Amino acid sequence: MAEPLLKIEGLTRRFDVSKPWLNRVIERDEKQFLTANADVSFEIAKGETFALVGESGSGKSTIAKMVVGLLPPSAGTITFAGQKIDTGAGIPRSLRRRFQMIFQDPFASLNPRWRVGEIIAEPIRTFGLMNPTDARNEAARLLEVVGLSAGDVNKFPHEFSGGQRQRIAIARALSSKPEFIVCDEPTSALDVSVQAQILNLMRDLQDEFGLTYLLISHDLSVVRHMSTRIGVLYLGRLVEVAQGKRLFSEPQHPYTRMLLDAVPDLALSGRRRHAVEGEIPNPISPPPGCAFHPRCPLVHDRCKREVPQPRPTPIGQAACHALDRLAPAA
Amino acid sequence: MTPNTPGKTPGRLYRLWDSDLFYAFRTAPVAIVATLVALTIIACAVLAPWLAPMNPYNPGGLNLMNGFTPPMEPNAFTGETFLMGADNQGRDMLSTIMYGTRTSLFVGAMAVLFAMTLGISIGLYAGWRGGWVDGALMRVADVQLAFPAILIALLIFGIARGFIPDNMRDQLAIWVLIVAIGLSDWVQFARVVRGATMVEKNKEYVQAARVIGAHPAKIMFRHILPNVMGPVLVIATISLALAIIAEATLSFLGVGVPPTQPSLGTLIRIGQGFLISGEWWILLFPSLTLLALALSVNLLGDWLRDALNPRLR
Repeated sequence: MAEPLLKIEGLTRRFDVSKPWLNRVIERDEKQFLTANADVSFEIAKGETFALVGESGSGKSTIAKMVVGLLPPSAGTITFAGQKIDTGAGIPRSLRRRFQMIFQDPFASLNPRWRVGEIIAEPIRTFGLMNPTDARNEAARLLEVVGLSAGDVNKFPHEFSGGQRQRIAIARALSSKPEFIVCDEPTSALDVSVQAQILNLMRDLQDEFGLTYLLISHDLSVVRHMSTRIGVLYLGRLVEVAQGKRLFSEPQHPYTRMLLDAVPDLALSGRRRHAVEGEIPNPISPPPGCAFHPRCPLVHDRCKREVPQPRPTPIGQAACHALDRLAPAA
Repeated sequence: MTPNTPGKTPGRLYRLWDSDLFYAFRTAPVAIVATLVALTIIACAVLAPWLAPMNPYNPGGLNLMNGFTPPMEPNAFTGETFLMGADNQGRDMLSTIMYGTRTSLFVGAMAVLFAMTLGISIGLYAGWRGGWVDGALMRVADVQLAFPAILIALLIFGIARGFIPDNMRDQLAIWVLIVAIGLSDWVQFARVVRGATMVEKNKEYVQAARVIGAHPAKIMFRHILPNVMGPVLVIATISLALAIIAEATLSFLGVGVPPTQPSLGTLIRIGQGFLISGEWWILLFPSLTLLALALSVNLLGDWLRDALNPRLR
């Protein structure tokens, strides 16, 4: 693989969830931290769609926020196009222009007091890419690119449906001509019938503009439709990374298998679905060793003591002690 | 609008007429009457130099013989008639009230504008920054809220008078009054704006602006402020009534505007001296004007609060 567009190494994020200082002093409590992400590393090559999947609370969105600089990481590095993204020191404009984000809720991601034209042109104006007249025309053109009409620039967001709003959000993300777009659950707030339209639009735009996506989703069918590679998160850790299609046919990690088993089957094949067993543990006090061991069917003693490190698998990599046992690496 | 699009985009006026808020207005008689009363008083005050029968502050135009003329009765010596009577110096009460309301409204509106600007800025900043900055600013607000507003205004007024040289006092008195009332009133704006800012700043449209590195001041004033203006407008309306009353109170106590530029409060103070001796009109008409103005603005504010509250719809 050539130089990756995005490279993430040892990314960790802890949130301070302690009680207020006075309560801690009186009740003699320690500071408490919630580990949203621990030691996450992956790379995204240019033109790829890398998906992150996981249950609620697995830290998917936290990674997305750190990548675009909305949250500073507690540890680890994010390197975009060879340059380190350092939220604390401020990300240079030239670098910021090259990535964008699409949000989950199209009803919250568009400022209700702004006209659609202003919303789409905001990145253009913020980066000073065009004069105001050109920016307006560009906004109208982008509306047509995403399948709306150029006359919509004068309307307000509340005049549109959820799917149309998400198209507007996509047009805004495209307006600064980015190479890389972080899509945080772009379809989970939409009707199923609209989801496919938005996903197809995103794929068309990827081909047209040579975009690279980081797709965050909990919906495995979305991920399967879109991704070239998939990372599976469990309790803030990356448990498996695999090529898109093969993850579904030959999952390696027991958690991935459990997730796939739980997917409802529209073909009504009569296959028995296995519900995911147990709940995701409390991330404030995660289980020792492998965080998945209380729910894992393949658990053995070592899992309770030692955090598994990622090791290569036929389809990518996975972090599981059981893989060693089943197929000991040479 | 781009020329190649069919269909029309409704104009601003049409959208205003068609809005929920305006519909609520059209169907609320109290709001309509209050608006009419307030607008009439405001128009009379603003247009006083052109509408008033005389300029009560031009000593050349006064006739002392007209002193204490009762309303609607011709004066025994000059034969002149005044709709609302004349005061001790022969000034037409209607004209004094129009000019007085002008001063009252000016002070009230400027004080609210000042309080609003200050409160919005502090509230936005506190809500945006959060943490200890927010804590410190809000404790200051809490402490100030523990004192009656009129006391704070008196205190600020007194301190300011101490710093201003004698010969400047009368010129600056009105501005000192505005600052004093404004400083005693910013807390409400700051609190409401802070609360709303803390809600808005976590919404995704703000995050979208942060992703592209928009300047925090731009995010606060261009993105968040328009979305928190609803409650601010309500408070501004109610504050206007309160500021007018605060100004009247201070002027009644004799610490407000200088006698050369009397406000409604000053007129009431002058008038109450004549009540015992039977010249009731000198007190009654300024008081009624103040009452009508404060009441109509207050009712309008109440209505606006209900109309903008989605839970009451």
